[in-house]
Amino acid sequence: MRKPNSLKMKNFLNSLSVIEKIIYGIVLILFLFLFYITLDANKYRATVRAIEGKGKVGVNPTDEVLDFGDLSPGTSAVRKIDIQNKTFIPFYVIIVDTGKISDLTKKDKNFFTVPKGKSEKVEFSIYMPASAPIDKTLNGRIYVFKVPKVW
Amino acid sequence: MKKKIIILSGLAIFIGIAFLPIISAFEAHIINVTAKIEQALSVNTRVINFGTVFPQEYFEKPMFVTFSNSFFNDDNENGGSGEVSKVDYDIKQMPEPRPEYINEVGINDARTWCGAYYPQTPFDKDSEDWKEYLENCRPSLCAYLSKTPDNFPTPINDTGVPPFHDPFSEAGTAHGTIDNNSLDIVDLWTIDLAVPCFKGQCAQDYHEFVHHHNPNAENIEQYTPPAELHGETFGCDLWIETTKVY
Repeated sequence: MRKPNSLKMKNFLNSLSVIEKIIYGIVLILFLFLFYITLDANKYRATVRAIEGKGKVGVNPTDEVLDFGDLSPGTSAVRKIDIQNKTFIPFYVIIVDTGKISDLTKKDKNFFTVPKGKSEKVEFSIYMPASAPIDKTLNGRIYVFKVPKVW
Repeated sequence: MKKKIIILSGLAIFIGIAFLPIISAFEAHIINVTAKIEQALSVNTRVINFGTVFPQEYFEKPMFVTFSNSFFNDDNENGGSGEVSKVDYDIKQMPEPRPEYINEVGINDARTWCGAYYPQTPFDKDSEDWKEYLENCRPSLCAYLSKTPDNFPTPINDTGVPPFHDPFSEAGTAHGTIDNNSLDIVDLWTIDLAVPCFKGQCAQDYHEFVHHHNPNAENIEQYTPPAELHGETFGCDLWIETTKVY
């Protein structure tokens, strides 16, 4: 006769020592914390297209994507993200960018704290180099992780 | 031991997924930290190069402002009824930082410094302020650049700036609008350079030259760069900043 799963689980938990229970509890809390941080992170697509010629600019001022538009070699574009902390604790912000566009992107700040009730703007700038492949769209993603600053 | 780790790892993942809706609800109502992309976009068109020029010469260079390819792709995906139809933008100008200074502090800090610390006193080659400024920033070409719109279509919705203007005032900013739902989908600007003469080296008809390009220019003396800057490379950063999206 097979034991019910609940009884198996109960026996398993009873077989753990106190220290093991504490360690596994801490690991569980840490996992849930990291899970929350990853879930709560803002994830944006970033894109820019290299175009031919000098003095040409194509704009797409959407607020859904970090779209730097169409840039000819030698031009640069800037977009901003406004981070607002409307809670009662400070938050530590970590920004990670990935993809081919990350080679061209610069952030004016990273690894910083947004105090409670305050806001900070992060400026992303792109410079289109002379060697940029014409008519090619460079894509990537930008992740904004917000960690409650409990330390 | 290994079995315990595997079981507990699986338990943790299961709990995480099971509590996902609760965490989301908690986050939405309690942890209110938002990160929003601003609609504003700034583009620097620093590549307009006039080369070597001589006093009282006049040059024109074109500059196009339009919607990007990605904008049209988004518009097509939405069946042509995209949320954004018009974009208002300004063409602003500020002194250009030198490449060495950009490498030292970064493009954003360099640009900000050159705009904020332009000396307010008349030029003096022995002044520490002016020495520091010219070490970090190029002599300013901004006052001598005009931005002439294409004046198409009518009614005209773009505002240009003539040369020989105050580069630090609002009068030095050009305004434009592009409209996806009309013929005004592209703005063609002409960036004119009316080359000034150096102080003490001007031709007798310099006043006429200035008034020919800007009849409202006053105090012509302010449009004669110091002779000490002869041979220098002058520069001006032009920035296109979107101001309204609707």
